[in-house]
Amino acid sequence: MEFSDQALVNEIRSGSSVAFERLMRRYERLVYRVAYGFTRDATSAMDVTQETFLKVYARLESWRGEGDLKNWIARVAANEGMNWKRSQRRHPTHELDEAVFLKPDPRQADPIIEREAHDALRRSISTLNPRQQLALVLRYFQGMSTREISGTLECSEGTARNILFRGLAKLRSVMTEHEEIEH
Amino acid sequence: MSDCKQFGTTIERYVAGELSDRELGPLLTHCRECDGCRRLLELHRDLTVAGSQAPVPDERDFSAMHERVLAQVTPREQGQARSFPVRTTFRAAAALAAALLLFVVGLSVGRGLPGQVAETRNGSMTSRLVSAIGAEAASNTDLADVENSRFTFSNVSFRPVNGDQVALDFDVTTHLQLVEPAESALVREALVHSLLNPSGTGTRLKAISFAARSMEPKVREALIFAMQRDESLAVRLKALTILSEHLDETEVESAVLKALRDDESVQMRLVALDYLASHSVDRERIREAIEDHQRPGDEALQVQLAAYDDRL
Repeated sequence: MEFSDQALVNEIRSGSSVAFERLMRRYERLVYRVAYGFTRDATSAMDVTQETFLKVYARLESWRGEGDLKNWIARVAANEGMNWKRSQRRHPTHELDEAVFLKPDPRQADPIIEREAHDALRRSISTLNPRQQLALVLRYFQGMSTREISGTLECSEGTARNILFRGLAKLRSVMTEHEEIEH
Repeated sequence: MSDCKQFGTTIERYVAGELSDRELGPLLTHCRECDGCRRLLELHRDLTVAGSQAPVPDERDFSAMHERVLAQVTPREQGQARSFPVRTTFRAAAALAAALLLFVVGLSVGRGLPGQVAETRNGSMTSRLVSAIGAEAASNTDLADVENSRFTFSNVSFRPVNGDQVALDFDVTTHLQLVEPAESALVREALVHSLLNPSGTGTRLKAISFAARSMEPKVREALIFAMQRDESLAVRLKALTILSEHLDETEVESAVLKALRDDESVQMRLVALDYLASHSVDRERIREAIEDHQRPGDEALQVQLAAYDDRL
């Protein structure tokens, strides 16, 4: 028997750790993928996932059942992902500098060129505003449709489509600038 | 530029996954001439590939994460603050989780599993088990559901603790269907359990057949247990047949001699005698086993033994 989100939340509010674990199982992949979209590192993504569920538990009392729980959890995950990025800017590590956003393109044989391209993309992503970052992460790392993205961003589908497009266009623009400077 | 404005909406819809194949052709034609739009589509493609290649953690990694989260949100001792006001409806499940945790951890300590690793593994196992039992309990609405449940509870006891909480203590079993290599550790473990615990005669006979493939100590002990104590003569005979291949082991020889002396079935004792005599076991020990006390069938056994002696 599949419980509705509302039924699970009611059980969790009653103190059920069993129900909370069911909720984690239901949304762990969503949260992890959103987290990975921000961290691009498996271990850090799991840390962010853990923090997200702790926040979800602490704030669940404030979720009033208006809107989709999935979208609400995705937003909490995105906030945690952005918090993580901010903390990395304050405490940068070599290991994270090594993280790459894209898998190597087989057409590009030179690893130095690949690395530069990846670094450029990673830097460029950070220049997007939070909603654009979240839209891109949901689209490409969670595979969400425009309708689902609009639910998470709490906007119309048209607006979500536009945020997605503008985010992508800005990303292209920033990356082009990087390339021109480097050449 | 005017073209890009014209195709801006098209690309927007393409990125959103809403463009039909018919509309894609003109866009691709346009991209051959427009560097900006082409790079946009390439970026979209690269991001799609990157997203699809994001790693998915192992189930155990998620379970370990659940454990860490639950450890922080579930108070371990009475009086510790919880984020939510606790009502009574799901208390039993929370108590069940605690009781099962104690049960499984207790089991691991009792069996001497290696410390921290065992605790982590058992923690994940408990977590999954409690999750499954809790879900089943919540979905069982009437007695028929409980009777048909895949989990069987036994040795259940209840103990009230502090107000409206109940500490539960019970064993839980469930049914699994697996396909495993015939000589795997799990198969050996299962066949030993099938001989030690209640199961059908056919199952016990099959288990003994598999036992012949690997005579490790626990399998040998289970076979001796079956040969000496199983209520079915067929099972005892089968176990005896398998063990007769190992009569050069002292433990097995003693067990077969005991069967010769004590088994209630004359047929069983005759077969045991055949194996012992043909394996050149000391005649005096065999004779002692037969003549130790008067039992029905002793005469037939003595005749049989005499026949062996004559052949020698």
